[in-house]
Amino acid sequence: MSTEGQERLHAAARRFRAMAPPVDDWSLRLVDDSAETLSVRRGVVEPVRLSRDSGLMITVVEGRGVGYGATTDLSAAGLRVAAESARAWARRTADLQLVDPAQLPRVTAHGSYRSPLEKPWHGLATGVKLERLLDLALRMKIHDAIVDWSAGLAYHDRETLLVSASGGEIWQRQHVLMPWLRAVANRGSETQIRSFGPDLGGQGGLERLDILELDQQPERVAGEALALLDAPECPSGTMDLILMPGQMTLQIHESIGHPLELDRILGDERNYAGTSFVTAEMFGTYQYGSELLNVTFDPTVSGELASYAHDDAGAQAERAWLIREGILLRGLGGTTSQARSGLPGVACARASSWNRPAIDRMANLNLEPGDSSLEELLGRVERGVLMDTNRSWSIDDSRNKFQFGCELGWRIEDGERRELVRNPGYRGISAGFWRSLAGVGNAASFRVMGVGTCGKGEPNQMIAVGHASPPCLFRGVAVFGGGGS
Amino acid sequence: MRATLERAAGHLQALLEPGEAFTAYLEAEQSDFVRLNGNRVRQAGHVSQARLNLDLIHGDRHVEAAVTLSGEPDTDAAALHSLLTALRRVLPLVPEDPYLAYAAEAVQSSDIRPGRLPEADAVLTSLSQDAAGLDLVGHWAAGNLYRGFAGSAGQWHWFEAESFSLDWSLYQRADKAVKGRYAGSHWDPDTQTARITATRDQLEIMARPAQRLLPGAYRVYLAPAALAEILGVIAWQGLGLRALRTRQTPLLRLADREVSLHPGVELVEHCAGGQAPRFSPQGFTLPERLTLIQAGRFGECLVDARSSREYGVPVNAAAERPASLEMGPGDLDIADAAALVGDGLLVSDLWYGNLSDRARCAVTGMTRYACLRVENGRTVAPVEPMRFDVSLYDLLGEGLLGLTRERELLTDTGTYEQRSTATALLPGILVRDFPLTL
Repeated sequence: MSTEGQERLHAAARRFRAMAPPVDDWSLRLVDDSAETLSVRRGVVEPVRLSRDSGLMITVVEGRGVGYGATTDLSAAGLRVAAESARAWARRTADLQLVDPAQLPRVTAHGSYRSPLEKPWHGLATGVKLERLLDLALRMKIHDAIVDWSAGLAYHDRETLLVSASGGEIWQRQHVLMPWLRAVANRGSETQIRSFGPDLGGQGGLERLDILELDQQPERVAGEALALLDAPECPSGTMDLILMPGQMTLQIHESIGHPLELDRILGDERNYAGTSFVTAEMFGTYQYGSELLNVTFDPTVSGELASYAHDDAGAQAERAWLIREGILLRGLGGTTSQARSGLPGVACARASSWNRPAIDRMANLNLEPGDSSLEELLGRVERGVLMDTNRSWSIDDSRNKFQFGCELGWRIEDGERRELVRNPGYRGISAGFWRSLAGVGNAASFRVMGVGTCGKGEPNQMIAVGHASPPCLFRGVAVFGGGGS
Repeated sequence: MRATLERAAGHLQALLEPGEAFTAYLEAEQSDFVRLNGNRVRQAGHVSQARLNLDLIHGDRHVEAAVTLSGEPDTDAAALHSLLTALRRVLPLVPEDPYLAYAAEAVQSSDIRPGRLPEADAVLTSLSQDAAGLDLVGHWAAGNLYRGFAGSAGQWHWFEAESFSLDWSLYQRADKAVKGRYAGSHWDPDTQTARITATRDQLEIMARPAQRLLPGAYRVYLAPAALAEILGVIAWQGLGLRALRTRQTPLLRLADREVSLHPGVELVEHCAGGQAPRFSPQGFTLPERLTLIQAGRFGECLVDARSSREYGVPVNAAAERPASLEMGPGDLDIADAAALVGDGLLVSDLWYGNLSDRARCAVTGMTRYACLRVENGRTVAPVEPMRFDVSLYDLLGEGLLGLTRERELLTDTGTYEQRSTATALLPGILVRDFPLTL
């Protein structure tokens, strides 16, 4: 099915092909992103917001130089200005390039991709969606101590078209839906927040609300926020830790995903997002975690946030093992980083939009399931804490020393989940933490989630990445609660 | 870009139907970006972009939209026509908004800040010379920034600035580096050379073997950039009226007057002294100055348009976080920092701050760049990265020993979606018992 956006992008691409400059290589990446955000807070419908973001980036290779020009003007005149700007940058940087343009990948592939979609966003009237959100939000106002409550839906319909001098042409369309619920409970100076959804964005339409059982969440979310006001502080000390998928997402992201990015290892990010404790020599031999640790780059998981057929450099995306039985095998680097480093990578050169160049990013980064049920993991803990839903994250610029906090936890004693505890947190060092992995949940406990706001790059880029994981058990972790520790 | 907004406003005005009103807020830029690694160019190019944020209003109903404008008149006219059609489809479906707020007075303003930006070739040449032989990693961003507001009642605000930012790290080895910054409106090659030379001079001490610290409490001097990281975390949701009224601000105990900070602590949103526009996306003119914390006590809150209606307080901010934050100075001499520390640490930068305990107003994060061990009033060695976890009530309360007389203007180098216009003018602080945890 052709869309207005698709026609618009293809028309601009045809215009550019007809006027492409005489350079050694060029590529044109066009993006057309339509979005809609609906939300309700404290019983009031917040302003409905529609958006349409369209633009393009032309990248040229001319001699030993590379440059880009990006614009919102898709007309012939706009294309000409952007191409000239790209050529000017290629010429002025020809003697200063870090990467030999001959190493850069040529976009030769043809392909297309479309998200799974059963119930289109526009198949349900805006008024009906707002009524549903009003009802969801109202159901969170269960007590006077619930002082703020909100529900929302954010939808994106994003089309990209990548064409090149080499004849490559890749069209992809992603529908992304992110629902959220949030309840704030307060008594005196104690405030507790529970949420559902910001880490549950995924590709698809309104069917995702059924998959996520959104209608069943409001009372639970608000009830837990309320219960946390009276819960004891999380105990402090060295103990076992079970992380639910809602926290594993962040743990994987920060202490596996980022350290494995090849552009970090190559030093590109040292002025901003940082470097990595992982070095090139480690690939193939380094014991990243216990033998229970299996991590894949998997752009083929239906509905996961960052599924696609090709990355923004035109490389075909395929499932690959990054860590297998604890051994580090492969990094997160696109074809350029692979060429620069000589290391194995994956198709993960991605740009946040038309106005930023592609860099190495996570896409879908998943911790593969093991063979334990959650009950079996609990049964193996004599003294510990189970934590869920990230609320605080911080890690050093080598992605080693971390401290994470969760919205809630439960104390575990003698193999049983006991009382709810508030302000749970833990800290550790990536290089040792994953070696303390002592149990991995089975396929039934595996949950597909994601992070919508991964920041990196100069100029800065915010991008969505998918993560999936079962609950996991770690031994001997430094755990703490609030109140100073 | 001014013509783009003028045309868009004129077009929207002509398309309005009886009873309708609009506000239009333009965010645009024409920016060069050069990314450097190893004092070589990793990626370089130019971005030209314009986004119009439109609010179509009918009585108390309204729908918002954002659309990229191309600058090409016919294309933009068609886009706006199509957008209005889409908004009119939705408008009857939304309920009246009790918190709708937009400027009604036909106020006009213009704030044009010309600069002196170099030709891109000049920057590349000077950079490659200034950092010859050095492992410089960094980012150059420069060009014109535009913000504009037009309303159907005749309001017009225009902000335009030429600015640049060079943000770099000089690496001595592995994770041992020194941070440098040079930003402003009038670029001067000699100043750039001097700044890079200054950071190069600091590499000498970074070459010494790094000390591994034990967790514990240290006497510390936090340079303005380090303080900015902590204040940035608190300011994100600590100083707005909505966060206060919904009891979410981490400064709740300060606001409730259960605790107070050191009487020398004053935080001000100084809109007139910053580099951000003096009007909000809804067309409200912002006050020159708001005192957020005075003599260590909670002061005024930042109030955006929506909160102003919800809580019945006048608008005083574009958003409920500071854009032009200033902290009052003290009487310490920045040149005496190491001597004042005596035995402890000089911390140039902190990194990756986040709230660790809302009730305690506690922030955790990492040391980064030139974090130096001080013994007997002299810097002796760099230290390995350490994690801190500190309550603001301690840091700027009983733990605060003094603030420097000199303050540093820190330009936000953020470029998420667009170049930031935020700044912070901060002193350095001397504190005792700064807790390092890992």
